[in-house]
Amino acid sequence: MHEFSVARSICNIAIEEARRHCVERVTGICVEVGVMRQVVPELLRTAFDIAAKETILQGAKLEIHDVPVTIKCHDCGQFAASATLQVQCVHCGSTNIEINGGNELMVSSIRVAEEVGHEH
Amino acid sequence: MNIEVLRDVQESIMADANEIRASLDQRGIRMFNLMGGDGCGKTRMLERLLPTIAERVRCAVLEGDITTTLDAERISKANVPVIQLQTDGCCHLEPSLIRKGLDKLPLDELDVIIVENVGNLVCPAEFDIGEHHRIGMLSVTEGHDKPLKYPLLFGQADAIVISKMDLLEYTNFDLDQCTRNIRTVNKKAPIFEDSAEWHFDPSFLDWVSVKRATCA
Repeated sequence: MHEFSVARSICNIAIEEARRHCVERVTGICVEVGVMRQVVPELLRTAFDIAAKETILQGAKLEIHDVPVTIKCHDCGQFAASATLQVQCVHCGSTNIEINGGNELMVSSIRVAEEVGHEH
Repeated sequence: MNIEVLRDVQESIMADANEIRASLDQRGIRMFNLMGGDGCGKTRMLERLLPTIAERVRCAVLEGDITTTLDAERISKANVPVIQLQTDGCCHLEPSLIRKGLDKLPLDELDVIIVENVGNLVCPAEFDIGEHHRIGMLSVTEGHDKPLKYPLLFGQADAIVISKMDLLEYTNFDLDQCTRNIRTVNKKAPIFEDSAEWHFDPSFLDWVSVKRATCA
């Protein structure tokens, strides 16, 4: 249940950015989550809704974008991108593979209803 | 309208972790983060490791648990400083709690700190606590598929210990398959085999000592 810690950090960043842009209400937050991060989207949304209560984020929609891993096969030499964690090469079935990327955990943008004011 | 942010969700935790690492570096201390599932034998390994490793380096332990001081009581018998960190329900350790533990340790008298994280193969791997090296642990009774099912923990480990090797013959654990599974997610980490019934593997002690020496 580390999703609550992740949700709290997302809220802190979104609130900071909203204040920096003099925004009073955030309607959406986009986060990029790598496949390797073991974040459960449903749990993250629930945790976010709880963490966002009584803040300028309350009611905002959390959009979670999965970032795939890249799999390199050491036997057939081919690459593949996968939205789930694979333990075999999708081309030749070999398990002699290398998994790269998928460690992203980032707030990419926030969506606001109003025009952005001047930065502090 | 959209406002671009592009900030790492864990930036404040990473900043805290980097601060801890820097302050340990200044004192010449190396910190190890021992992670593994509940009951895989982390505390038992430390009980056996500490008396031997204490002959080579000045060592202390931070014991992470949801509640109780049972593990710290076990470790204290090895005559090394130990602080119990209670997360009060949280499934992993974070830098803020580590700092509280470090404040209670005699840092001027230490070379190595071993943190035993909360028994859990998922959440602890997500959080940098300011360690220099990560040790992943799994036991033969858990199964050889664990490295594939928990790729973050085993993929980021700097060393991997397979414990309860004396029980190998009573399980369907496939050691060769486990090694291949580890290599799928982690090409480099040395793999050490251990059992509470064995003498401690000197090569693991050497690994800890070498990692310690890299900052001396």
